[in-house]
Amino acid sequence: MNAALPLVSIRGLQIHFGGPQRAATIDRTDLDILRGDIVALVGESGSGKSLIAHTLAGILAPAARMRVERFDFGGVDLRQQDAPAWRAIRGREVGIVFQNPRAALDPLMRIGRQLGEVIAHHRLLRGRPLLDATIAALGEVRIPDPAARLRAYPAELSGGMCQRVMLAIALAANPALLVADEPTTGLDTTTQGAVLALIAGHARSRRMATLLITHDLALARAYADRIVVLHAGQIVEMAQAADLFDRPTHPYTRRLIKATPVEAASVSDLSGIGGRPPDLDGKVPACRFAGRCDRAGAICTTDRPPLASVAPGHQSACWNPA
Amino acid sequence: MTALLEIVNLRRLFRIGRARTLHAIDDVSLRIGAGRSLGLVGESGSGKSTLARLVVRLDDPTAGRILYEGNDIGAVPAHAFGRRPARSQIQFVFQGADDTLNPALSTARNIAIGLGASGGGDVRPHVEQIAAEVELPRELLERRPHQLSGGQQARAGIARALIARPRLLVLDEPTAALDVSVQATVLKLIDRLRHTRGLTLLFVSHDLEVIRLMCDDVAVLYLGRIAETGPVADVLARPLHPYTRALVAAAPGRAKADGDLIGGEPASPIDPDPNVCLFANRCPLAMPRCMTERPRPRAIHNARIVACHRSDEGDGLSGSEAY
Repeated sequence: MNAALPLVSIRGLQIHFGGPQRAATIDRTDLDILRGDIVALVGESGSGKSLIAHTLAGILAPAARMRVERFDFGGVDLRQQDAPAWRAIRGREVGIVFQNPRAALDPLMRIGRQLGEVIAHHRLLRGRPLLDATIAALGEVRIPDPAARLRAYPAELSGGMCQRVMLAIALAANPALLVADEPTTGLDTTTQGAVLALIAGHARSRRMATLLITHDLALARAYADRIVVLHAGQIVEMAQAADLFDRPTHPYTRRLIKATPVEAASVSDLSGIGGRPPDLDGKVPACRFAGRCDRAGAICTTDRPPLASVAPGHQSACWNPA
Repeated sequence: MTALLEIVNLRRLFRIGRARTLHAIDDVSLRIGAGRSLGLVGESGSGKSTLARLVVRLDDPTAGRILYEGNDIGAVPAHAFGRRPARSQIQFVFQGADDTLNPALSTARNIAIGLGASGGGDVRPHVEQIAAEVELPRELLERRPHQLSGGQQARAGIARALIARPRLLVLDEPTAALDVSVQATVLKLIDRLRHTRGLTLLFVSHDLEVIRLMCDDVAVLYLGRIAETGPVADVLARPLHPYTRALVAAAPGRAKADGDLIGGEPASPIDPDPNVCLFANRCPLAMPRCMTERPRPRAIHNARIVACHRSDEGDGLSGSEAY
């Protein structure tokens, strides 16, 4: 396979909820993810970050109606996959890590068995080789003294340790894509850094494509190669992580950065974005940021700005970029 | 400078079962001068919320003193404190509506609770005035808390605390559940109110950047004990305790020095060995003395207090001079 081809290539993704009068929650979105690339998807709550993660993991809620022009995963067309086909992909090709690992693990099952089941399923191991592989997998996510921890229940581990176990489960089949949806929200600062450094390390060493969903811009900048900014179901800007902070061109990105404490010298430097994303049941402007934007003109409500290149590797969707 | 609030050798121990004791707050001393803002940082389980609850007198200390304007309010049981005049002077803002607002009452009545009143009749002008001050639109006052957005709930919680005209405001993660954009507006509001009303703040947060923007001084808690205190800019620029170094290094957006990132898990707060530094099991600088003698907080310089045997080795600790 050509290394330069993206592992995941999505064109014209639309996700609808509710009746036909309601605007799409995800509005005609394109996204490519390269092998070995860590892509952070950032935006406010309700922007649709998790919907895109769920699409890539094949776990969209039944109430969601998805339409997509192209959904290519390593050369396979995923547009019309049914549930059994997704079961073969999920876990094997796509690993998933969510927020709140304690809720994802079975509280009544020792972690060695939870991880061992997944390894047995994917690698067809039993007995001693399975045990050795399970211990090795716990070691790979830097769980100290893994042989002893096999017999621990989730409640006996900290949140950070549980998230490491979840990561070991997600990595068990050596997936091509890791979808990490707010993987460190709720963890302590020191643990947060360690877990993200671990994810980044595996992404590099396995050349695994990674989609990191986060509401935290500072985290995205510290750990992602590329940042994709989502506002109300529309991608408004994407760039290399440092470039996005140094030269943001979309008004929404600029306001988002201005609201982030790490970027402010004093509290007077902070400013909120103001306004709210449009109500999808009402009249939705073509650029969904138009109603909150101080640079908006007439065209912004009638024509959606295309995601256009503003610099190498840097695209922005704005009729009047800064 | 006289302290508005001074905490002296404060302890809060919880009995677990018959024979074990959890040391949530263990020998903590702190002071906040009138008009100052003290940040309290630490990870989950460090005792920051327990300390906040003790200060606002929702919980009783096991030992030690809580001096408000020199009076030991810690000696008044929490259930009786509501009838003391100091109640109105010390108010709190917690994270989200669930902890602060009564879901069965309108926003106006929730705000009026701060006065110890029902919200009808003659308190109404007060409520409207305070709502305007926190930029909470008047038409929202008849709504229930769940009908407000996260930012509006935060404003209602601040209004409830301010209507009693407090001097000391204790804020426990007031913006942790908010989107970054809403957080920015709420932080600006708190900062403005602090200055217009001359408030003294005890600001609990796990977010070092928020503490940096909102506070003059910071106290770093680790397993119920003070690791380090000092002026916030100074502590972030030159952390002296190895735990503070790790905390600063782990914060995204801050330069990382090799050897400052830590692994491992905090020691157990249940019956900790009184002769061991509680951070020693994760500390890159631990030495034999750390396993036999628990370091006591010591004044260093520039109003810095550090509880580490190796803090007097000063700048040469690990060669980390990133800030």
